[in-house]
Amino acid sequence: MTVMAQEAPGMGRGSRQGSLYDTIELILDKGIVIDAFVRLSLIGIELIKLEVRVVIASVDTFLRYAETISRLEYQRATPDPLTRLVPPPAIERGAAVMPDGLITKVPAQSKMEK
Amino acid sequence: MSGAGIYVYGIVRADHPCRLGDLPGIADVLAQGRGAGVWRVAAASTAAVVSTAPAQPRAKRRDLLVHQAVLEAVWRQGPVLPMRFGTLARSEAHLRTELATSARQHREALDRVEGCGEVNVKLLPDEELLIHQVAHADSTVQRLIHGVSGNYTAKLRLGEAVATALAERTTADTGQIAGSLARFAVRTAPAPAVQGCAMNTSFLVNLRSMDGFLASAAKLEAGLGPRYRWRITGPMPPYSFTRWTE
Repeated sequence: MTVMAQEAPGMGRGSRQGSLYDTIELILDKGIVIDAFVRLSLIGIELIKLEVRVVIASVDTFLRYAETISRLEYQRATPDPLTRLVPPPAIERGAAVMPDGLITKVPAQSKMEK
Repeated sequence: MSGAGIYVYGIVRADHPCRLGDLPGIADVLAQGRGAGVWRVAAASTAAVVSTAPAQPRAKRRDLLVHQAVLEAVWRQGPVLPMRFGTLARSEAHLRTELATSARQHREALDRVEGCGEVNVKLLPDEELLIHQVAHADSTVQRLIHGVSGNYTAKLRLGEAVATALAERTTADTGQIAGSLARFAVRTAPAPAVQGCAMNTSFLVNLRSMDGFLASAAKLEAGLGPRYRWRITGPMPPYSFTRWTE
């Protein structure tokens, strides 16, 4: 059968935007694995993967997250008097998941207010 | 030269034409075209497409590109089962033994992907737009919006309702999309999770159905409007369809 010949219908269609960016996770995580074979070290590849995630999820999202987390870190470093009055054990018991400082600050600046 | 081993790109039938001309292998890019190129190692009705392994032990971006380019060229001439990136065999003899052992499985897998290409579809939601749409359509969200004052707990409840409605909406949308596209595909495989994707799925599509598949995708995209950004890649070698049990 020669369906896959050079001029096969359908072969050249489709979008090829950002070719490596959209296929890197397939190239790295799919495909045949033969246990007896060795694998090239992928240490440097992690950085490329991060780059890819930035491109795909769009830079904006990442920068927004970074900005949010820095703001929270800043608030944690300089708690206002009200936050300081709350005894730490109470915070931990009430909302174990949240880092201290979040509890009084987040809702006040939440996007939902808009 | 063979000290580093042999780099394996994929497995083809022994009669695959494999006309790759001067296509550089993974170790040749630095040798500026004077390398050994890409060749085949055949055993028991199958063959591996190989080249000299890269000299440096660590993979680089250009290695990914070479891996992809070789597989693409091979796939255009006949069915191929891509290896996972970075696979090295110790020697040709070692590789032949391995090929002979799994020849039947590889033949079967090659038959299944014959005449097909993989198309990867990623859907990235526009969260702000979706929140907007969900807020107007969801009765729980509507009720809670009106109940929100400055109260912290009320805000949390509203946020939770929005998150739930958002998840319901994207699950419904992606379910509908995957179902519609699957009708044009031989098989479907979830792709590894990618940050920010509401859906990341690969479809094995017969090249004769490719037009129908892509037309269907275009129609769905138009129907859903701007709340998702689509990234469609392919057709390409069947990276996600080398094993049928996955």
